[in-house]
Amino acid sequence: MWLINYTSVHKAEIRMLKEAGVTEIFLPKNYPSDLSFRDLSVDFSEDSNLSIPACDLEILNETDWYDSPSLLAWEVANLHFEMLFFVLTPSGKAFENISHNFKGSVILRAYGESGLISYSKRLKEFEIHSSKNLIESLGRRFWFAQAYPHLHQSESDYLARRAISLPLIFPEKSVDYTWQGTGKKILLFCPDIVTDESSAQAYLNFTADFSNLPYVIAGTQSIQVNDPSVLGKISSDELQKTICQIRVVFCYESKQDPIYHNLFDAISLGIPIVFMANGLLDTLARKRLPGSCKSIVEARRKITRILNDDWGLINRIKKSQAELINSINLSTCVNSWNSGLSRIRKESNEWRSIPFPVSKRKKRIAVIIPVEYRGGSLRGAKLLAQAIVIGSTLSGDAVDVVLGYLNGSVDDPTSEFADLDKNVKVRPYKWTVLSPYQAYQSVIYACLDFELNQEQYQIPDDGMNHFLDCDLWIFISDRIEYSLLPLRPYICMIFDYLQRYEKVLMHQERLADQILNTAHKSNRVLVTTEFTRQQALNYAGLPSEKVYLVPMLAPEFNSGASEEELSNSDYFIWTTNSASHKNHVKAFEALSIYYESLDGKLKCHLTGFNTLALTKSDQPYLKPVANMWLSNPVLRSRLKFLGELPDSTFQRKLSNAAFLWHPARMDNGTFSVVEAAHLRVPSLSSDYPAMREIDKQFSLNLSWMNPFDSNDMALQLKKMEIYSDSLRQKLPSKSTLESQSLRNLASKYWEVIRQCL
Amino acid sequence: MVYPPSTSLRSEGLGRHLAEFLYAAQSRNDISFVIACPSWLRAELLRLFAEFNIHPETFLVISPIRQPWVLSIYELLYSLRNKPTRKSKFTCIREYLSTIISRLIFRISLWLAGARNREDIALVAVSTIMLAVLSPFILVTKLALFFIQKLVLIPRKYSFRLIRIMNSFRLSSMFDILLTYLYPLMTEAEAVMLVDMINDRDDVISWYSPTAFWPWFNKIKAPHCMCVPDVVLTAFPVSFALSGNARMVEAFNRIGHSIRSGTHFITYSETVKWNTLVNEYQVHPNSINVIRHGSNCMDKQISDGITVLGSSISNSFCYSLFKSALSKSCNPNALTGGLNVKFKFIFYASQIRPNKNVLSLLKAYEYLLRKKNIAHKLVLTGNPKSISSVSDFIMDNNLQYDVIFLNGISNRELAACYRLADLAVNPSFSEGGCPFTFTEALSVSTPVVMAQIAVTEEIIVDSELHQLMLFDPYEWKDMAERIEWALNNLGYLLKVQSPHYEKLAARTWRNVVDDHIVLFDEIAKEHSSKA
Repeated sequence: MWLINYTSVHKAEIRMLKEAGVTEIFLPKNYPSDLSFRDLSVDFSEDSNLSIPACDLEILNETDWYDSPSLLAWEVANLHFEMLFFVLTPSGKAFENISHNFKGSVILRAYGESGLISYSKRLKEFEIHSSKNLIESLGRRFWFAQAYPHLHQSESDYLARRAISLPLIFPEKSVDYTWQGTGKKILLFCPDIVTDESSAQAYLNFTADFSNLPYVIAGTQSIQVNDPSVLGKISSDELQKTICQIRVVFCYESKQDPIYHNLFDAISLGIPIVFMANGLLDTLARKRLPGSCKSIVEARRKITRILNDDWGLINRIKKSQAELINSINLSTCVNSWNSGLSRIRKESNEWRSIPFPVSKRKKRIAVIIPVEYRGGSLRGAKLLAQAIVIGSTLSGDAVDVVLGYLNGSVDDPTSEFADLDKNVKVRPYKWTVLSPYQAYQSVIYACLDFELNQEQYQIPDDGMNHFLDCDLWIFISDRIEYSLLPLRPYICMIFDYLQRYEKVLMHQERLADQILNTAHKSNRVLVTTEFTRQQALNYAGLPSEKVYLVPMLAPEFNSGASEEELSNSDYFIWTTNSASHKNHVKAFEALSIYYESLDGKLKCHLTGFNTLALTKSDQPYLKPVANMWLSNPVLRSRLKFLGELPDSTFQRKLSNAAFLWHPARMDNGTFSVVEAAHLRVPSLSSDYPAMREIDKQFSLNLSWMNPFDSNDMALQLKKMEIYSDSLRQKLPSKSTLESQSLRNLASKYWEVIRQCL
Repeated sequence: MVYPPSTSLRSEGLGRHLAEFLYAAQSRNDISFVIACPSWLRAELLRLFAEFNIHPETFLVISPIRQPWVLSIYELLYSLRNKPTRKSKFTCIREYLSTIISRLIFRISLWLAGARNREDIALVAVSTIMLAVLSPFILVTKLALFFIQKLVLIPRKYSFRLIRIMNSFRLSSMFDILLTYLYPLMTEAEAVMLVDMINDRDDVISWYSPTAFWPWFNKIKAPHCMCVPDVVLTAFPVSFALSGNARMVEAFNRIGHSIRSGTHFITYSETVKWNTLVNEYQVHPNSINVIRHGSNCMDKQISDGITVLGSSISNSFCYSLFKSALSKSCNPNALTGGLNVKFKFIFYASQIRPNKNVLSLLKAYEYLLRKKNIAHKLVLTGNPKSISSVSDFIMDNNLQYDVIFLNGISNRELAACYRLADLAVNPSFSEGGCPFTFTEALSVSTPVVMAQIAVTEEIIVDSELHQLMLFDPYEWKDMAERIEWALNNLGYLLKVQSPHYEKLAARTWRNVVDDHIVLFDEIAKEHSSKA
């Protein structure tokens, strides 16, 4: 499989593959419409030489190999092909997919792309957990096929070790001398000046270094450049005509830069090239050519002489360039290709034939609660842990799950986690902060390779091996104070972006930045509502392919009263906590109106973590609540604070309530409404997206109110008082609720999580 | 063997392994052995021979004749620096000056011993110039501050602050940087000399390196084979990074270099072969041979020589050895005179390293002690201060009288500990081969419980035994339950384990040596056929 669409190198290299005995070659028919992909084309000509079934070819042709090919496409590829050549794409997605899925020789074709410092550096920058590990996991099936013999010198050891030379080939051409050079100008090949940083720099350097000398800039420009000397997009014939008229070509080059194929086209036309020394041209010629210059001053001097009709110099340069063309033509390179491809075949096949022992070890996944969450988030973590166990078991890949919680954050771990499956092990931990050098050492010892540029790093410390016995980390939220040292791939489960709506991270800019960074550096982000997904894309700026929407998981509750039973309760339940987004002020205002203006009959029983002292809190946003409490005797007589109740007590209390009230402004929603539905209790909720999505997923038929309008809230409370019995009839049936059980939804989670293992 | 100076071969598992190997090797009359080692290791090697009853004449030891004189100076300075005396301020100043001069001489000497390229020479030259320029300035300023302070020209608190600033600019920190760079050079100079000595010989058919720390080994022209016991840093990267040894990165890189440039390898287990060498270092499996350990039988260390098993072991002899071992406790306050040595204990022989899982064992022990009311103490080998979380846990949980760490005990004392313990435990997360604990403990009739790790499962294959004696090392409660069960069923566990021990004990170190010889012959044949 030759997954490279570069027009310039395409024909010569395909021909070389054939010379080396490769008879069947698949060429990709789709490529990305991305500025970073220049000079690409599609070629169907090799399809007729393939002996694979037409239906398989159709699958291969329909696949975008630069993106995420389907498992079926990989099956077909593995069935029919033994080698796969590819180039690095900006996102690294193709590389990741190929490494994970292709079973034959994986060959990174390296031309030394424009502006690239090294391939190792580009691999490091990919949002992949560790490219180095991925490559090393391929063993001797991976090859760094360099087009120029020096490319491996600037690479990390893991790439350099796998270097093999498949030299750049230029179609068999001898230097012809159609060039006349009547136009006394300098030509520079410099594509994409506006969009490519290194081209822009070359253009600026050139215009400064050769100021006052006439010039022309060739090369495709994705965006037009405001300079009449830049030719922009012209046909190859037109370019050829232009080259024949221009007096001299100048070329900047270093060891890292590529030689544009255009340059060799120009050489074949006989135009003299003046270039900076110690670059690729010198390397290919293996000696210093007359056009080579050690300094810009020297280059300027030579170019001036050429422009001033020094035909002696022109002819010397032209004559010497024949050696350059010879160095990269097909007959010179055929031996290197033959021996290179033989070595690839031999070593890769040997490696593939090794009977690797099947590991008996079950994969282990850590679900880590990064802050001292209680209530819903803690429950969410437990549900996720259970979902992974169920989902993996159902798919036949049963894994172990470790649930990590912060030391001291749970009062009684034994009873708190008693309801977990036996395959979920619970492990307390603390965060350990590492200095940059300690982080560097850790990365070196772990044989990983990624950028470390933060002042501090943190890693969960379980007192054993920092959760490194686990193959994947899943963090419940993105609230991680310092940069996480990602020695394992990790997923963030993000419930909401409350900070976009509430002042929850005011004056904590570093933490706010860090939260976004944590998600950006993760392998996947899981969200449970479309609303949060939109925040992840539009607020956090995460790429859409990283964000996965999974269904909400609700705890399994015991069903309460029968569907026909009517309530004669004298109270309703308000579940909350002391966080600002819980909208206490509007809720208290609404209660005042409900009792004083609307003659509300039902008492309000308030429950939740940290709510007993709600009216005595020093928090500025709770001051009005305290004032209302003190000044309103009706409220004091009708409102009852129950505090944080054990689950069983809460459920008993809830099952006897007339309805459940959820007046929060904005969050990831509350599952208390689902719990209430299980207990045949209707709910009145603030109208916001997460609650709408809960309502839809669980078919709850919630009643709604505007959380910013206390009058409406009070009015809806009154309606609930009157109609709660009829609303009870509209609650979802037991079977409807069961369709959303953990067991039914767990596979959706496992489908996403398994991709990271 | 290119172990660095001051290595104690006798105090580590690798040393014991080496001793067992050499002890068995001396019985092969058809083969001669040559040990090539640096000059500084000769004495330690002889001590190892003596302790394990190995006849030194059996082995031809080759090494540079004299120790580098710079190392002698270093040792002298080291002994002076660690002299515990209270000194006057004048003496301090005088010694400070003389130390600077001596250190300067020492560093230059180190350079003389190890320098071989222009960069080294340039670095030493620049450093020397810097020291020469800065030393008088710092000393004069310090002296001036001292006298100013004495004359009370400036308030005391300010002068202290100034002195503190000057102290932060100490020469010793610059010395440390130089030491980090120069010390390996001296080792390399010795290793290169050793390789030259090796390459001058043509009477050795094959060379063997017991560890992968020495990339120079691969410069031996004759057939050679390297043992890779394990590369534990890759599995515990953060813990080792936090342990604060900056030179470890260099050592780690050396291991990688050794492995990548090696041709033939030996591991103690399939786990290390596949997980470490093949998967992590992409070594071809055909070039790796697994040669398992022999059994480490401790009974001969404590038997009175009349019979081999059981009755020949005198418990009173063991108690006297145990008393001697207890005198090496890291917490002598916990063992004041008159301590009844006949207390019940659980025993774990180990180093205190991140992969040894000592903290989980302490958690399990604390739970058993306080919640399950066991009477036993916990005795371990090693120094708890090696890992602060271990020493902190002991103090935070008031365990200093129940958890005893014995540091630097002899092989006989170790055997006595095994013999007198009710139960041996090994909670290690990771080892190169099945831990010696199994055969060591059972050889003196003490039952064992161990962590369920891949290298152990390669050896403990019986499902019943598996159920009885293995626990999940990542679950301290599982460990506690297994220990508790074992303490309540010592006789039964020993009865089940004994036949398995007998099977394992059948593999002697002589077998191990024979396996090596067969492999060395093969490598030599392959080498000569290629030549």
